[in-house]
This record gives sequence, C-alpha cells and structure tokens, in this order.
Amino acid sequence: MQAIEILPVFLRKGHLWSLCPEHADSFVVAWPVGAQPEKITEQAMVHLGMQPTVLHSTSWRQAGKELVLTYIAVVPPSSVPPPSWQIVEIARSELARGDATAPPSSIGVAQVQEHALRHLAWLRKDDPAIARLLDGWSLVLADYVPEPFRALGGLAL
Amino acid sequence: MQDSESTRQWQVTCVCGWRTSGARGEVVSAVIAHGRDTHSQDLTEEQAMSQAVPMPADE
Ligand SMILES: [Zn+2]
Repeated sequence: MQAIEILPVFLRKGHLWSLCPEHADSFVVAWPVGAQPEKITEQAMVHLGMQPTVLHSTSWRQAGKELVLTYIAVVPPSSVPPPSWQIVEIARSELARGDATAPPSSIGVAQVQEHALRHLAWLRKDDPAIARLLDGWSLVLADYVPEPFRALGGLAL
Repeated sequence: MQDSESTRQWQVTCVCGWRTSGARGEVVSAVIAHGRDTHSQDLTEEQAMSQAVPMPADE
C-alpha cells in the first residue's frame, strides 16, 4: 500500500502558515500502483480548491502498512481551504532521527513538515525557477538548515 | 494474482482529511456514515464511490 501526503503552506506577513485538515494530522490520499504521484497530488489539490505554485516531494516514510510520499505544496496566501480546515502558524520542530541504517521509531507530521521546509530552503538556493516562485521567502527560510538528501524513512532512495 | 471485483480494495479521503479503505461495501458504508455523522450529508452509494480509488488487494 502506498499513499501521498500533501502539506499545503503559504507565506503571509513574514510568517509561514500551514493548512491542516480537521479530521487528520495531515491530508493523505491513495496512490494507486503505477500512477504518477505528481499527477495524483495535483488532482488532490484541485479537489481541495487550491492551486499550488510549488509542488515538490520532500521525503518518504513507512507509516504502518503504508509507504507515504510527502509533497510540500506552496499555495498563494489568498488560498481558501475547505471550510473545516485550520490555518496554523508553523513552529520549528526537532527532526526525527534514526541511526545509520534504521528509521526513527516514530515520526510526527510536524517533523515531516520541518524536513520539508529545510528541503524547500535548499531548493530555493539550488533551483532558479523555485527561487523566482519563492521570491520573498528568503528571510523566513533563512533559519531552515537544508537536509535534502536525508530520507525520513531510512536510507535515501 | 487475481484482482476481481470481489477482492478489490478501495480507498477514500474526504476533504476533511478522514480516510477509509476496504472492500467496496465497507467503503460505501463508512463513507455514507461519515457523511451523515460528520458533515450532515446524505450520500448515495454512487456519490460515496465517486472519489474512491481502487487499490491492489491485500495478499
Ligand atoms: Zn469528512
């Protein structure tokens, strides 16, 4: 079994905000075998009524019987999530760490999001197209130490 | 490996984040109950399955 987790975020008034569903820690959709994950993610965002400006996979992990691939979705600050969703200011979080050959014993969504933002901080420096799209994010991402190649679930893919 | 209608598994994610999975009948029942209890919506079987994604059956 495999699934896709989407973490919508936006920048407003110099702060980062996440959009969170009411009845789950994060928004997770089925990922049928053979389907392109970015297409599934785009379709899910359209279904939620939000149009991402940046959509990027940032980590994967094993959660129970599922392999979960996480996408960070940067959306405009004017985005309107479904009515029951909450908009929460993002706080820093310690990363979940395992050892050299084993994944962390537990991984929370806040830690996955922290990892995603560190990845985004690196991407913004490395990819001119992303840098253009994230114009104005330099200050808010400055404190995020990029760790782009450390897969949350264990060894890098 | 067989993937007939009887063994096929489905998954649904509601826009509120709630998820369910299982055989068609289980998913339909769960989605209808969720719609009624959480969103005060009465869904038909067709509506319940409209967002369902087929998954490979468990071995
Ligand atoms: Zn719901």
